[in-house]
Amino acid sequence: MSRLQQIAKLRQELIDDKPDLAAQVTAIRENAISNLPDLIATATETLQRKLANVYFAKDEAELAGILKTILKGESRVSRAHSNTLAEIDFDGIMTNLGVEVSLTNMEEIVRQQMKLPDHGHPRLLVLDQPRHVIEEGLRRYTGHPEKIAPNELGRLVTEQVKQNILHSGCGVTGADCIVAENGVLALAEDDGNARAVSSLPYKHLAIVGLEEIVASVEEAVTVIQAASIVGAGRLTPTYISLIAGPSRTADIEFRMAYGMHGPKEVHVILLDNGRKALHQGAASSLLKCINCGSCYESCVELAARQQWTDVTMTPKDFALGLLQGRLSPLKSKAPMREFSCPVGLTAEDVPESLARI
Amino acid sequence: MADDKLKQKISEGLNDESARIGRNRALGVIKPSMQKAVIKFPHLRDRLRAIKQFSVAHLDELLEKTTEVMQQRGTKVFIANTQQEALDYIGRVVGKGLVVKSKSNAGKEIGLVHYLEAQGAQVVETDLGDRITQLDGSTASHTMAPSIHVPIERVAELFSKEVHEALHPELEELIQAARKSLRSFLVRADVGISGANAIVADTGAVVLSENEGNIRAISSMPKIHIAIAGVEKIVPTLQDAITVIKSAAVFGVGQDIGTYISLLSGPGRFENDDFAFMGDAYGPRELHVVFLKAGRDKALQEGYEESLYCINCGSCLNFCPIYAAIGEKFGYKYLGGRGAVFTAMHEHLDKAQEAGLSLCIDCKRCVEACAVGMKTPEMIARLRSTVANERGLPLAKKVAFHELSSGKLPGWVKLAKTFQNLGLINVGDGMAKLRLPLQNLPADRLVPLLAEKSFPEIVKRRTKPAKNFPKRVAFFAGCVVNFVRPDLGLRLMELLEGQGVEVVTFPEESCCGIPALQSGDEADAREMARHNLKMLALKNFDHLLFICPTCATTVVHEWPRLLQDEPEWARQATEIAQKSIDISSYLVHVLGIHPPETAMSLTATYHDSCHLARGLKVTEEPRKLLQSIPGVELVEMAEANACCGFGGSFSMSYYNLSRRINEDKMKQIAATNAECVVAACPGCVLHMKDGVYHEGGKQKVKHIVELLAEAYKKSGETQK
Repeated sequence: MSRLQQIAKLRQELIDDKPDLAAQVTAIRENAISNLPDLIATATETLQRKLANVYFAKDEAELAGILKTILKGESRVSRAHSNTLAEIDFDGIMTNLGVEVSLTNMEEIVRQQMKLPDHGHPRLLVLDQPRHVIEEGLRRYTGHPEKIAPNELGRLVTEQVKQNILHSGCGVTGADCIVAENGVLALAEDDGNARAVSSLPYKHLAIVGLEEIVASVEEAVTVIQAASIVGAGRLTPTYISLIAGPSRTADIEFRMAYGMHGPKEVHVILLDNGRKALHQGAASSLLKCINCGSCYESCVELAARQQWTDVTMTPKDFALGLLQGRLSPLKSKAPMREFSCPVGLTAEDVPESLARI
Repeated sequence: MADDKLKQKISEGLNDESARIGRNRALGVIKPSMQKAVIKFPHLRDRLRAIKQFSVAHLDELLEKTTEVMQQRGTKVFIANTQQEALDYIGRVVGKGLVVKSKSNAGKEIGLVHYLEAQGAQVVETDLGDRITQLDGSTASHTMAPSIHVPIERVAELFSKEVHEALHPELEELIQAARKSLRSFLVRADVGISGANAIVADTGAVVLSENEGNIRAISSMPKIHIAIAGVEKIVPTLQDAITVIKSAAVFGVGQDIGTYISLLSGPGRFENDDFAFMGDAYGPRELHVVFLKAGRDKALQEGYEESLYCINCGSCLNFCPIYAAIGEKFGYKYLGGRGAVFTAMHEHLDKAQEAGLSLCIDCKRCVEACAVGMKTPEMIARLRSTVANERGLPLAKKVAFHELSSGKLPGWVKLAKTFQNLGLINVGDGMAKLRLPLQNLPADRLVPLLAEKSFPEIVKRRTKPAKNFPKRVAFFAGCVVNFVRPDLGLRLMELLEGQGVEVVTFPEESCCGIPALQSGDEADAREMARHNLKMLALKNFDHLLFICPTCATTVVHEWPRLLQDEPEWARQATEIAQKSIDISSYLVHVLGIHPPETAMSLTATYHDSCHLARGLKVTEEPRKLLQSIPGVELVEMAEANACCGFGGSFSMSYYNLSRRINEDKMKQIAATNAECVVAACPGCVLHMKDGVYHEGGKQKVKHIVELLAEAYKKSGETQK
């Protein structure tokens, strides 16, 4: 059974156990979309109240300017994987700035070392590769001369990555949600590298799409849990990290100080890049998409039909790609192959909506 | 003896000036923050209480589910039935390794650090405050800010030694040095140990909240992470855990949420199963969750399940007058009144005594402040009753309560009066000094003079005004009015008669029973209740008035409870409870008294008595009455509803504590520049007179009835 088939099977078992989850998540996402302008305003205020520096990037050009302000002078940053970072070609911008980017996600490392194609899955960055390819990619990364036991190799890789993180001036992530009620960033993962990236360096930078804002922490964990069930066939991600601004302590004479164990500075860039236009247009329902990957195979087929390349295979990313002019307009409104969606998008609706962009 | 140990702890606590300064500093910021924050989340307490109530009621089921889900995910679960089992398990995992640790009440509960260090492990506290106190060798001065009593110069000294560099006493520099120093332990530590704010049954998650980031560090850098938690931490869903986290932040320190929340559902693994053969990714290789059952079973079996709702937010401590006075000396491992309750459950009653079971003054501020509304004073009262039943009372108390319950008060009082003439020096205003110090009563302590004639004696000889009274009330005087301040009773009668209300009194009144009850003597308290009910049954009335809210609270809340197993007495007690009313509420709501006509020029501040404000929930009526007197300016003190420190028999048993609590109240009163302090409780009035005397102040201290009687007399509205 392929990885995707396994996930489909696990997904079904979990969904059967939680019949109300899809309705809850759909409601959360629908509310988020209908209240987007308020949520943006509230989130900006609460993020700032928690002492995060908040920026608003209309497009990639503005984003590059903001990144220059934040990261100028850094010799190295470490980053986790995020579809948003891929969307804006973060690595490219860093190259132009002369800042070295250390990868921390092991799948990305393998993909880079072995020059594997990007299949566009929103969560699985290496698909159906044999073990020896994975091992070889990681071995090349460490520069170790010969083959060693996988556990040992894994340990060497994580050590090297951790050293890179420890020597990075800034850690860069996306976010699964931003919580408007209290300025919290929610990061969900299994691997644990996003935690390291967002806690070890003095600066933490998160680049987050406007559509990721939800109203409450309870909503955020509900969405995260749904994404895990539907996207990975797992009850929950191993780590959900909620971050509200920089690390702080008043333990010395009750005087507030920042950067005790965690970052001293938190920078959050709220990214538009077509999201506002999508929100105001006739295809706004596509902003509900939480990039879970449940409809991946159907999206791959659609993309193939459209000859769309170099894009993450989700309805939301298709919509943004069209708006950003990276994808050619939709040729056919024919329904996609059936898929299960936690936010109520359907195989008919998606092409209909995409056609309106 | 537990009692001697306790007295010593109180003494040490009262004398620890630096801890007190630190505590006041922290409380000065935390209390207003919390009060502001709580208003913003009006539904939080009810929601949390419902979650905890459900979770505790289904504890076994939830524990089973949690274990199953966790184990399926590869988390190692150990359920410890005793403290020793938990220690042994953790000891085996740690060996002689390097441990980095975050704050854990459960860890403190089982004496974990001491145990691990004894077996050769090195334990490094990673929370900055805990690390400072660890290096300093001192004890934490406050749960949320353990090291605020350590001056920055000392912190510089401690870390200079750690990092082998001469550090300046500058905040930034020290934070960076501490970060570096602790990180050097974190990167090479073998085991990380934490507690847990909540455990999620649905997803097997350990949920942790913090501000520094040390918990993220200890749960991600070492290859083994151990989380210790009492079984009562388990809640059903992720969303429930978020409620716990929010409540701890709001009620504990007035934050809407902690800076970092970590929800950890298992040892490290890859998102992509194709990489699983490479190991544990970046997370710990092993996650161990150790559940403590010891003491929790007992709480459930003995009906103290409410104590398991506690989320350890510390809100109660922020408002407890005993904690304010003696800090971490109140409690054992877990602090405060709830700490005494936990100690009774986790250890035994003697330890609970040592923890301060008898120190709770029943001001009920903790109930108001608590994130789940725990009725801690009630649990303490039950435990005191258990102590009294198992060990009996001290002889003096036994005799006194027995005398009171058999209604032999007058004889007892005659004896006391003889002593009074020999042993006391009148200092005026109804108070006296001791000629010689007695045990528990230093020479400078003012004691109330027993009145020449008791209230019943005076009423007997009094000529009732000759007129028709359209209305009639009954009046339960209480012991202070009967034997110390009969003038207050007389003022009440004059005031009401002037308003056309006849006042019926009871010469055979016995004590309401609260002193016996506070000492755990339910039997004698019951006797007193029955005696009084029999007496009350002889007269007809619609309203039973009180000018002592402690008596009123006892009659309204305790008599029905005490007599609930005796149906006829219970019925009478309930009937009387329903007719009972404090004088302020009666005047405002029943009588609808009109303001007096003549003005009196006075600035006054009003003190909310604990039993009136929180026992009977009456705060506005006395203020309304005060402000209705023309010329009276009401100036509010900073914390009008903070306890004055009297506590009835408490002020006898723990005079030095009582004094210290009163000092804070006196400072607030002085700050208002008011000429007069008004209270609606004779006990508070007595204690604050003692306070004014000690501060060398000039304020008058009056019961509201006295002031009102004065005001209405001036307008000729009182019968002479």
